[in-house]
Amino acid sequence: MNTYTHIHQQQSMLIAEDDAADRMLFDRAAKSAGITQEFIFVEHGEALLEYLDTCGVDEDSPALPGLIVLDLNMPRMDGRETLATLRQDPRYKALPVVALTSSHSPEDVAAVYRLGANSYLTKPSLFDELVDMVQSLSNYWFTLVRHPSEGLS
Amino acid sequence: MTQQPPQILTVVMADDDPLEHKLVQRAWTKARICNPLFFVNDGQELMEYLRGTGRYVSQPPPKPGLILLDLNMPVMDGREVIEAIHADDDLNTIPLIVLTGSEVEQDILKSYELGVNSFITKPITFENLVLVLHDLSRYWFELVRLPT
Repeated sequence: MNTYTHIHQQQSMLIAEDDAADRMLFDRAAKSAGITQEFIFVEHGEALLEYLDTCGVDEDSPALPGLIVLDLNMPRMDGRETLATLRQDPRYKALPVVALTSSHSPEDVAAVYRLGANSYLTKPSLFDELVDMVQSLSNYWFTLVRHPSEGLS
Repeated sequence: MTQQPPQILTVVMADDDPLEHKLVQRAWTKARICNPLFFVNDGQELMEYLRGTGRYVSQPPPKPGLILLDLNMPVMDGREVIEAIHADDDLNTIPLIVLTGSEVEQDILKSYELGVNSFITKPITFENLVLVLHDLSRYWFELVRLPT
């Protein structure tokens, strides 16, 4: 364990992904990487917003997630629309959001940063790369950076 | 349009303390990061650097891949810089990372609300600074897709 860290192990990672196989692979990669955070999966943007609305309501409800991983192409409410909605909502505008997509188009990358994504990642094609990605995401967002919820305490 | 491979994108760091420039440059080298690191002394100089105006008008520098920002600087502080960059369509896709000695919790929330991509507390020891810069550069230059 590095000594510089600010560890937010108790926080969860919320993943919005419409593809069941991709959700299963992500879950398996997290287990392979030995990630200790809780993973919560939702299938589209509407479900993500519904989940967030249940957070922090009373002492029995879950805390806001430490990181949101957002697939861009989903039915009902896609990643761009979800991101724009989060950034307009004072409750959620500070939440770290990482866009995860198969698109390599430079226009997509710029547009998603402009919408307020904290990072843009492309989906790896190999499972080992996915394990590395999940490990790096967890290390960066849950040990290296400070989290906006620290400002609420 | 020529595209540079991401690993040679320049990083620009705004910090008003010249001793801090030396320390960060040493840690940058020690962490074996090959991206060029350029220092500016305050928010106003950063905006001139990014826009190729003022001190940089005769030789506009390349657009950086990443901006590292201290919050407490004279002339134009970090918060004003974040707002200015976000209001500028030519600049608002460049990831902005607050790297500061501030431990004020309100600064963390406020910075994220203003739209920074990450907030990192600058470690006190040199050894930990090397580790932080190493992990930061690996995340942004090896994992993340940066805007070109």
